[in-house]
Amino acid sequence: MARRAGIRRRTWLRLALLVVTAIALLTLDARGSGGVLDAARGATQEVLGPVRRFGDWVTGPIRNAWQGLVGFDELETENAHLREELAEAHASVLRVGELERDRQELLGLLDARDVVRAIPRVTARVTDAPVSNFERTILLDRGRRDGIREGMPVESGDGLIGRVVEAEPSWASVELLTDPNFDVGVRIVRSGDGGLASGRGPGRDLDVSYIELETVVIPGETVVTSGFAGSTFPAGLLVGTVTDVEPDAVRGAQRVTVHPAADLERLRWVQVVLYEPDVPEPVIVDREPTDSPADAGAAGDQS
Amino acid sequence: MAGAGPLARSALVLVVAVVVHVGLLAHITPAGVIVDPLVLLAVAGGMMGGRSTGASFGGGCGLASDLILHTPFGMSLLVLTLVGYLSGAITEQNPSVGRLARAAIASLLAAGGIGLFAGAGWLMDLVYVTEAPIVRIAIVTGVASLLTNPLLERATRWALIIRPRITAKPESTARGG
Repeated sequence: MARRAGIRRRTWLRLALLVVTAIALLTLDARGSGGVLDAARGATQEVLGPVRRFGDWVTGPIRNAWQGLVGFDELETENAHLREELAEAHASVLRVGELERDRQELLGLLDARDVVRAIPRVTARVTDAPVSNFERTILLDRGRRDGIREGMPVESGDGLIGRVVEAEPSWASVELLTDPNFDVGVRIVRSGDGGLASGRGPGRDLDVSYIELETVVIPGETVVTSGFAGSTFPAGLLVGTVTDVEPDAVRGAQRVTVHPAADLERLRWVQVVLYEPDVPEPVIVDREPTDSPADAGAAGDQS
Repeated sequence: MAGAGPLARSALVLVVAVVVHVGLLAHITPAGVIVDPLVLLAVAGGMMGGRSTGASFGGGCGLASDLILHTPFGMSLLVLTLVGYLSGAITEQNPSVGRLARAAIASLLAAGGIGLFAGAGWLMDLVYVTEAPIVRIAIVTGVASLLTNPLLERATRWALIIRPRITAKPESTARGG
């Protein structure tokens, strides 16, 4: 009987110890003071990198063959859809040209240097889909060695896809712009009005807030990054197009929905924009030693 | 490796599970779901070793999972410790069930583990966890557990040095777990 009670006590103690350890680790992580934890995680990812790449290489042909077998109908539908899109694209070439002219004009008017094209980029391969169903990042096969740093914007050929949230020597992870934690300052090209675009979860459009009620926003308008001072995004990166506008009289602003320009479901190759914002130099104030009577008196009291 | 203790054997099993997860299972996604072998192992560990060993083995699985995922560090440790403990507790209540019934219980526990993870995500306000297709993930994980349970039982028995036929009193049979 006593032995059984002892075993039960030990079991409870063990469970309590593990739960307390987990809560302590969660607290450390939440407070951002988990340097050791981050280092351990980074080292593990670094070690497992070749395993992931090898797995991708081995399973790639099998996955492709499987997709070919089960996805034939889907492929046909997609082909038809693509043909439609191509026809639409031909029709909208002129409109795109007009939008691009608008964008250049606006950037000029705003005195925002169109630095986007001049910024060097690193092309990286999306090494794999996430390793978990609850992952919110994608991994790239390039990292710090290639000049990639945390906060840098990442885009595909179609537009912005997210930002680098972790950079290790040989890999980097990217938070997608549909992530609920993702925010970026944007500007509606035609009106020039600025707002804040936020992710609303995978597969959902972005929500742009702080657009004034008086601003005329039309579905189909182009939205680019605003690149305000201190932002890790330069001005002029294509974010997407307006799909819906809803006035919010209570907040005195409009709620604008934006469809991302990039297809986030099929990312294979992306470009990391090696943009580092100009950080204003800290102002150093030289303080002259003060010999006020109060200070002198205090010093005299202490001595 | 035959003379190694349960700690070294468990570590080896966890390393193999992580490699299989990252190198293979992350690339094969039935119904768009990645099967997490560490959840299945935590369940098998609890069912084979009892609640005390299950909690420790589940904790090991959780720690390994925390190292490879980008969810808050400690979240998997917390969830899989509880999964291992609960698996052990439930098995201790029904010690003499057959192999098929055990596989079915493991399947339900694995699906429940996903639910527990989603619950922890909800408590921590992790939108990317709560907005994931939890039911689909739980079903696929449950089916994967059902299919792989015999293999996982064998692996955890070897890791925890548990004799195959004695499952009636798991606490007394697990040495050093």
